[in-house]
Amino acid sequence: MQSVDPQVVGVGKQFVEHYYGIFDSNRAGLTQIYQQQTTLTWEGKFLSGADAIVKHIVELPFQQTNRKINSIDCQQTYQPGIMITVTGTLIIDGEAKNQLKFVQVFNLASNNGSFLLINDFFRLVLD
Amino acid sequence: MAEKEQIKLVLVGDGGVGKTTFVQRHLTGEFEPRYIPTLGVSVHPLIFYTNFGKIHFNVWDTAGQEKFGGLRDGYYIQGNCAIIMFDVTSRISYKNVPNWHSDLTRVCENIPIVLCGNKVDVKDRKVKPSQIVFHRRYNLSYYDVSAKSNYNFEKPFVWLTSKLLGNKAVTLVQQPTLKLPETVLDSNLMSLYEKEVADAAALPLPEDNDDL
Repeated sequence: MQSVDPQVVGVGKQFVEHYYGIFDSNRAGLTQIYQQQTTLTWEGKFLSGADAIVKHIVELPFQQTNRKINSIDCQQTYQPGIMITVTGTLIIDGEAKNQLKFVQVFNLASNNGSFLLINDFFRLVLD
Repeated sequence: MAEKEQIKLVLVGDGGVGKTTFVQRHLTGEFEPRYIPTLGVSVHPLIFYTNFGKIHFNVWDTAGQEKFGGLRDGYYIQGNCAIIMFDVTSRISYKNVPNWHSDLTRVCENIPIVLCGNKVDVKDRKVKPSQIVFHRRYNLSYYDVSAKSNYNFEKPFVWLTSKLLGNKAVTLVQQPTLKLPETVLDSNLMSLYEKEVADAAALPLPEDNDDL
């Protein structure tokens, strides 16, 4: 049976854990992750560059997010890099019965032994 | 409108203006709100007893997704009427009213809409009655409300019922059961606001369109 290089999966999962750890505790800290060359499509809104992206995310008018990750899929890309899709459930500002499903896609590029976030897509999955 | 018919009321406005607090004031008795995860919507059944019989509103409230971006069409589709809510202590929430109105009317053309300015119990009011003119351009009704004190809670529903029945004179024959007030209003201040709302309604609309 074929499978993805476990190292790729390991890096992908670590990245996801790290990203949401920051997002759900202190969004301003995402300056560590977004780069000048990162682009983000957030709920259909396109943003380019760390400054614009982090400003947008920090100014979103919710205080608190909690999430449950349902799946993380990773593949090595041709660049070379890692592409990750995440699905999960979000709770906004502690309204526990109001769960929202989301999907997020990250494209990481390898850069001298580390990985840079290049593309990011976020959507709530709603009818 | 048949008595048995249920009315879909779409509740919109910026995150944090108090939409959920407002809709939860009404103690729904035999009915419980139900959450629809695929839409991200809590549907609150609110019953009012009027001189035209029992009126059953299903009030649609978001799960907070408007804080991430806009709302999807599925939230608006088949809405029979709407409340656009802002917070009188937040100018930006009033500035966003035209965006909510155009988003809503893009999907629901020609439905009755009420504009509500919530949190009038808060002393530091930023959006004064004389500044609230948006509703007059589009024939909406306007009410100051205070969810925490139940002030004017029933007014938007009575007005919407009247519109949906074809401008009939609607009165409640029984007051809805509401949660106990969490804050006491300054009745002198409310009288002053009511006078200011009435005075503002008598003034001609400002000419310029750039600031509502």
